[in-house]
Amino acid sequence: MNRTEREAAYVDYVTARRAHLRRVAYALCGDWHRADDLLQTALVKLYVAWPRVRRAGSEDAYVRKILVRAAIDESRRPWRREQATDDLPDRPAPEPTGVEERSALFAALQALPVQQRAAVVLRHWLGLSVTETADELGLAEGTVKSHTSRGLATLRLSLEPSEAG
Amino acid sequence: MPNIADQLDAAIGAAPSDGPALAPTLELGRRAVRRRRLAYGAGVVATALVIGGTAWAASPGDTERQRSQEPGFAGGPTASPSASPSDPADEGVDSTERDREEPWFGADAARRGPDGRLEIRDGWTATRVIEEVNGPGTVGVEVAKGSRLQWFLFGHRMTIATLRAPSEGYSDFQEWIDVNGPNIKSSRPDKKRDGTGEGSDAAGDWPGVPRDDLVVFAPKAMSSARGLVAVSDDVVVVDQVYDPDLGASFAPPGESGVAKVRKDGQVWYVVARRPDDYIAVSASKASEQYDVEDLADFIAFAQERYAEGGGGLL
Repeated sequence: MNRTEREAAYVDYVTARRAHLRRVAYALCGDWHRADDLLQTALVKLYVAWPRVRRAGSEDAYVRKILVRAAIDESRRPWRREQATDDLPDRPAPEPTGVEERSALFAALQALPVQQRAAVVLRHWLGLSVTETADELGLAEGTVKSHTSRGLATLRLSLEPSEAG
Repeated sequence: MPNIADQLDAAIGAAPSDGPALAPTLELGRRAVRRRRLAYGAGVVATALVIGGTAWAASPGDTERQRSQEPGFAGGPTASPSASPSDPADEGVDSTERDREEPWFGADAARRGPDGRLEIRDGWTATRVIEEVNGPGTVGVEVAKGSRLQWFLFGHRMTIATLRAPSEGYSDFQEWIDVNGPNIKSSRPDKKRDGTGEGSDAAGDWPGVPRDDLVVFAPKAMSSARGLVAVSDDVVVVDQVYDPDLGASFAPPGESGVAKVRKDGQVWYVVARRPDDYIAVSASKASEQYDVEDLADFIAFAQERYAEGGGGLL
């Protein structure tokens, strides 16, 4: 495979997966602009490592790992944590569920500690196994189970009022 | 009631637009790759001179004109061995010393001599040289003899070689370098990296662990308290640097520190940023995997990792 073919394969992959990967980044950080920054960081690293990553067939996993690490790292910077703003945030287009319910669940997801959030996103949104989630987060499987259990409990609490209604 | 996956999917929603154009990402990626390579540039000429000079020493029958026409000397007059400080003649290598060179064993047509210089086997020619494939002291070399090719990656202690290239599914030298380059170890972390992500792109390659049982920031209320202090009596702070400038992506000025600490017979490097983020890397792991031998090395390593994004050490 020459350079042109390699780059074409990279572009094909990114074009096909970018929308999904943007959503993963957004789920992890809760802000579309930051999500795009995270994704760009990940995609540049993917470009450099493309031949090896593609050979291993682990493109999505590689990008997710970078996204998760970058999101966790960013969340640990106190000056980058969420601040009040007068600007309205970007909103996704039409929600298939009620706005309040969606907002409550998303807000609850973002309120989780970042590793819990990442564990829930990987395990229960993307459907990764405990082993895969542990590998991508760099955690023990038991820790993943603990994170997801606590995270899900918190999320379910956030849904209770609307369910009761 | 929908399952949690469907609810999360709905909660996350759709992206608001197509997102940023791909072209800038591609350009950043190309730049990152380019910076990792130094093919046929001025920096490579210097290495080519070393290689060519060694080959020249091993082939005393060659004329200077013949040597300057070898692919490794493709740069023209500047590649001539006659006026280079790397020229073996300038180093007083006489024929007797050359005769004492280590004999060649095996099929390898390139090697590093005891002094670290690259040596090319007689009859072979260096056709491609890529310096700093993965940090200082690492180099990729393609050597040819007729239609035969061999590819080498030389690092601090290890060599990766393909003696029947192209092979193993690699179409060309550059692809082989791209794939195998991240695996070669340099002599020490590159303090001159500009943080573009090259060289440290191995998936899962984050050596740090969160540790809150080693050091903490001294309370600001304490007089002249600026550094890190041991959490308990069984922790010894061996060395530390306050405000080590790990880059704006890590911490603003005055909000970070690094320390080398010992606890229970184990040595750790710790990077810290206020108010309470402490990440430790085992000193033995840092040495074995990243050639970090002291706190200065570790600071350079951390600077590189945090500058490149994607999670830094953790």
